[in-house]
Amino acid sequence: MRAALTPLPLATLAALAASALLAGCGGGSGGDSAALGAPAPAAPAALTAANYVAVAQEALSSSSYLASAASLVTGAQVGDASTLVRFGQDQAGKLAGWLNAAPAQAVGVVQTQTEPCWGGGTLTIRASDLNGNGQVDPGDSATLTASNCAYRGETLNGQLSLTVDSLAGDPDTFPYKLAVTLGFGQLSAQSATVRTVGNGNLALSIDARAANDQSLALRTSSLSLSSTYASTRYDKTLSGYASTSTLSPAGSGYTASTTVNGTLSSSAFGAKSVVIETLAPFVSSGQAHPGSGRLLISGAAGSKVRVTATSASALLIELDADGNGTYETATPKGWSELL
Amino acid sequence: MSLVAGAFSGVKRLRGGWLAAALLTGLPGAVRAGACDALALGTLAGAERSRWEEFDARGGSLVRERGTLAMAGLRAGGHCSALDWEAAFSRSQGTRGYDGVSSTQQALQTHSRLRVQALELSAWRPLGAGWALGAQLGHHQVRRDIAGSGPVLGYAERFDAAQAALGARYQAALGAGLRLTASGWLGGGPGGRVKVDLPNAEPAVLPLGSSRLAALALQLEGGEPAQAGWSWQAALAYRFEESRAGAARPLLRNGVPVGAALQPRTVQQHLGASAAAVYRF
Repeated sequence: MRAALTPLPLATLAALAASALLAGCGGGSGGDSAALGAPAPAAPAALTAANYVAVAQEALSSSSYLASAASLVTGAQVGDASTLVRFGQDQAGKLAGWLNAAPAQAVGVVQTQTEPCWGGGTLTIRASDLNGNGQVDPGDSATLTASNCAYRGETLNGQLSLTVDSLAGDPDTFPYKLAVTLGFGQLSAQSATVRTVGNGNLALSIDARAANDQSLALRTSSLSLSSTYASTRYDKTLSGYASTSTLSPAGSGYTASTTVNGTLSSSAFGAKSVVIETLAPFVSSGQAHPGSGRLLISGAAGSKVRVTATSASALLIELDADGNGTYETATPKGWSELL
Repeated sequence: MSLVAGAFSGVKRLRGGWLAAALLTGLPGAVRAGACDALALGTLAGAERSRWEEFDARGGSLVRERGTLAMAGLRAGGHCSALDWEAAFSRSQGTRGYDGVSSTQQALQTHSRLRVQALELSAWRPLGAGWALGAQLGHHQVRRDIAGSGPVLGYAERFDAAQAALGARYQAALGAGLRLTASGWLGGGPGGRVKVDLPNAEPAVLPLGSSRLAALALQLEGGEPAQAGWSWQAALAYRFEESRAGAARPLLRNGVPVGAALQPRTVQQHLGASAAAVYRF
C-alpha cells in the first residue's frame, strides 16, 4: 500500500519544526553534538537584571510548542524568520508525491526533477527511493535545491533535505510511528525586510496512537538561524536541544504537556549561551498558552532565571543573579508580552 | 492614474514647497498690517469614496481597500492685501473593505476602520479674468485600524505626513448670486512617518517615502460674495496621493529583534461630495 503523508501528522511535524527553527538552531542530545560536528557551545551568559526578561523570552520562544505561527494583516510589510519553517512544512507534504514519481521497479532509484517556482526561480528535487517501491520507507529521502525560488513573496536559495529515518504503520491511519530528519543547508529566505539563513539538522519523531493521543519529539545536533532584520543582525543557535510534547485525551479534546532542554545562544545576550531545563512540564488544556509549568535557565557563575506559568495568561520571571539560590528579583509578565 | 502621474512630471516637489511657503508666509504680515477684510467662517459636511492600495517593490498588489467615509469640517477664509486665504480642518471616518494578503502571502478579506484628520492652509493670488494662482500647505493624519481575521492578527497604525502644493483656480459667475469655482493642485511632500502597533512587537515608527499629490475640485457657491451674511457651497473633489515605500526598520520585543517592517508604496484616491454653510462677517 502506498504511503502518503497525511495532513494530521504533517501538521504535527510542522509544529515541531517550527518550534525548533524558531528557537534558532539545535542539535540532538548533548552526547550527539560532538559526533555530528556541532559547533562548540558559546560561553555562558551572565544573567542580570538587565537581561533576564529578554533571556526568558528567548528561552520560551525557542520552544516551538510555545511559539505561535500567527500571521498579520498587511498594512506595513512585516517579515520575520518563520519563512524557512513554513517552506519546510510545505515541502514535507510533497515527499510521497516525489517518491511516487520515481520510475517503478527501479531499486535505489534517484529521481531528479526541476520545477518552476510560482513567481520565478526553480526548485530542483532529488528524490531517492531506496527500494524503488514508490512508497515512503525508512531511508527514503529528498533533497531540494532552491535557486531564486519565489515563495510566499520571498526568494529562497540553498538546500533542504528530508530523510525518513523510520516508519511503522501507515501515516494515513492511526496508529503509526514516524521519524524524519530535516537538513537545512545554507537555506536562505530574502523578503523586503528580512533575510534569514538556516543551517543544521532537525530530527522529528512522532508516535501517534490517535489524534488526541500522541508523543512528539524533536532533537537537533546543530541548527542555526542567522537573520538580518532591516539592518540589524540577529543570530540564534540551539545545541543539545530536545523538546517533547505529549498529547493526552481529555474529554473531547486533549491536554498538551511539553518539555524542552538544551543550550541556546543568541545575539540577544551577546552571542553567549544559556542552558534551558524544564523543571515541570508546561501543560495546557485548550488554552493558547500553558497554565502551568516551570523552566530553569542557567547562565554564567551560577546565575539563574526561573520562569513559572502562573496561569494561561500570565507567568512569573525570577532572577538569581549571584547564584546563591535566592531569587532576588521577580517580574510578572503576560504570555502575550513575551510570545 | 497614468494621466495623473504624468501631470507631476513638470512639477518639482521641493521647489513647489518653497513657493507655497513663500506665498503663505505673506499672510501674517498682511494680517498685522490690518489689510484684511471681513472673515468668513463655515462648516461643511459630506462623504467621500476612499480607495487605498499598497504595492510591493515589484509592483504587485498587496492590499486594496475601498469604502465610504463620512466627512465634517470647519473652514475660515478671507482676503488680505492681494491674497485670498483659507484655512480648513476636516475629519473623516468610516470603514473600508480590505482585500489583500497576510504577512505569509495568504489571501485575506477583512476591513479597516479609518479616522482621517486634515489641516490645510491655502492662499490664492488673483490674476484677473477669474484666474488665480495658489499655494497650499497641509498636514494629514490617518488612523487605520485593520481588523484581524481568524488566525491572522490585525493591528493599528497612524500615518502623519505634510505636503505642499501649487494650484490654479478659475471662478466664473453663473448668474446673480451664483458662482462656479474650479481649482486644481499639484504637489507633494517629504517622507512622513507611520507608527505601527503590532501585536507581537513593541510599537515602531516607520519612515514613509516622499509623496506626490494631485487634487481637483469643482465648487458651486450661492450668495453675494462681498456682503455680510450667509452663503452656501456645494463641492465635488478628487484627490490622488502616492507615497513611495519607506525604509525598513527592525521590530523589537523586550529589546530583542523579532522581525522588520516597512511601509510599502501606497496610493490613495478620494472622491468626495460636500456641502457647506458659510457666514461672512
